[in-house]
Amino acid sequence: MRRVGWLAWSLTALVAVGLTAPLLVVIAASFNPTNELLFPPRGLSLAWYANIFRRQAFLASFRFSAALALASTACSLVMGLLCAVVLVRHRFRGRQLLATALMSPLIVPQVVLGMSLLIFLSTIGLVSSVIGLALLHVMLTVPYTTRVLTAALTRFPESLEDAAVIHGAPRPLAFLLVTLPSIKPGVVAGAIFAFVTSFDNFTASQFLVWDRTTLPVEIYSYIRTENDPTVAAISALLVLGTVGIVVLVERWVGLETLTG
Amino acid sequence: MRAAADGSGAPQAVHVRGVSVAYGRVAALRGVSLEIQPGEMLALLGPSGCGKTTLLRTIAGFLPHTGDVDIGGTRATHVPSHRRNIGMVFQDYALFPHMTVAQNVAFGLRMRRVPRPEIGPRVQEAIALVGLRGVGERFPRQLSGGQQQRVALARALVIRPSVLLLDEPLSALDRKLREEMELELRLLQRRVGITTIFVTHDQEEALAISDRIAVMQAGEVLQVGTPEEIYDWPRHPFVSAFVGKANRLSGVVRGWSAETLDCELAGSLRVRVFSPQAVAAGTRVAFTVRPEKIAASTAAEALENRVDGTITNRIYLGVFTELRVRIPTGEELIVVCQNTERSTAGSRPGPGDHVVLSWSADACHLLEEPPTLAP
Repeated sequence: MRRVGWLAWSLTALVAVGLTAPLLVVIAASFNPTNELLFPPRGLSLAWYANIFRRQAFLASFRFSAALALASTACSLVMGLLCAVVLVRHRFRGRQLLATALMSPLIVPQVVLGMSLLIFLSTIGLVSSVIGLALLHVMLTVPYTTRVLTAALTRFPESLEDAAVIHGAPRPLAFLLVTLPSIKPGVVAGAIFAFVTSFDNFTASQFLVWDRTTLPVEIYSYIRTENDPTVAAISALLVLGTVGIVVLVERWVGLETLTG
Repeated sequence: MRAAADGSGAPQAVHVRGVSVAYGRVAALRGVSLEIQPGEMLALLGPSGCGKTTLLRTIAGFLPHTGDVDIGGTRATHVPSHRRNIGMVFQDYALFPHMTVAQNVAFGLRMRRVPRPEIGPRVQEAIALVGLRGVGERFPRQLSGGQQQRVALARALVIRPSVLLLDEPLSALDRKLREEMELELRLLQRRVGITTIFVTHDQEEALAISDRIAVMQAGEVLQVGTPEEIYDWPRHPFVSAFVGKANRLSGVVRGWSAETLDCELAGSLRVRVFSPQAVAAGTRVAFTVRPEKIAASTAAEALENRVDGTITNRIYLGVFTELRVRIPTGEELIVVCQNTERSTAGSRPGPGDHVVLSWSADACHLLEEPPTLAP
């Protein structure tokens, strides 16, 4: 037993190191003073961080990505909630088919998804990155919110909502006052999945950057021509931001609710 | 938006008229009719799947159904649940986990837009009514099962509902606490004087606390009556078997006089059975005898029916001793004897011993449905 325990411990530690080491390498490289991505860094400089803020393209695409992620998260939460209510509370013919259809954006290759949307939008003459990307990102995130909220709603005892109704709340108000607060962890989890999925997306998004561009696409086009640590600096900031969000969520609802 | 006006406090009658409910193709209720008097406490008693919870949820307005539900003399069939002014306690209590006890209890008042200064005192009053104090700021998960049950009751009563519905309210409590709560619930219901319908599968609970019992099976109400009527005068074979223990016997009528039938059982055994109506000679009838109405002794007692038997099993239950006695018809009867000082001091008959069973004709009750005849 002790030997197995020791083995399990070291394997776990190895996995943890394997998962975080690349991040640490990137963060370290972002401080390199010279014009190359080097590890270990040859000094300590914040020049590449300053470079991010000098380049308007990065800031603009960051703002756009953040706005896009927020909007598609909000949209996909509402839609996911509606889908979850239909899937959990109703029994009808074709229910399983509907559930599968709602998951389909996860199965279809993103290249196909991005390209078909490109062809479709060009055909109907809707050449706008704002509309195109919003549409795409809602499609990409709805499966996550639907899935997480379906699980949350399945665990939610419906008698709670009935209790609110019988004591005087119309059904929609009962949902708002009792059901929604009870499934809050699911809502938060769904929101985070959706936000990250949208903010990170590159593969499908690259087809729809006509007049506006997202941060991942901007980073990609930058590293095609430059090899300096600016991208490493951006990555470091993103890691910092993510850790910040995780800490906030932990404070607010507890991180275990994301996985449970 | 607005919920039904705050209850006037006057108990209301509930009238269920020909209600049927189907889940897909499965009929859960088949044309149930039931009248509940104002201020009455009525138990819906039956095994799981008999439709008792479905009937309760229909009265609450949660289920699509045919037929009608009247509350307080007006048709409530098309009144949405939130405007029926019903208080309800759920089996799992269904307390709102993100609200404190006080907020839970205040919920119905807030929905009725009761003015803020009135809410506080009424919540306190309701919490005191159910015997809780000083828990208002706690959350439901910090309370014991019994306390949660009281909070659920307070939340239902605070709105001064026309009708109180209880869905197996005590089933999650342990036995001791349940018996305590049964008594409290009954006293509380009398004090508030509210029309109460409660669902239970526990016949002792139903006998102990209700004014009347409606025994249900397979989506139908078989018999409605006071606990005494249900226990002593079960008309339906299912009722006699489900409520309490019962010995069921059948025989052929040989004669009738002075409100008593002379029945011949298998093995030429003659038994006298109470029956106000005459039954034609030669008719096959079924009847029941409650185990505690049979006396088992070594010497015959002065009762109309006397049957010899052999004890096959003996179970000591503290207050009672339960015997299984094989009689000449080949059937086994259950006999329950109180353990008095006299009965325990002497020799106790055990398996294999011979006893004389005796009971009065009045202890036998005819069942309405004749038993199926053997081909």
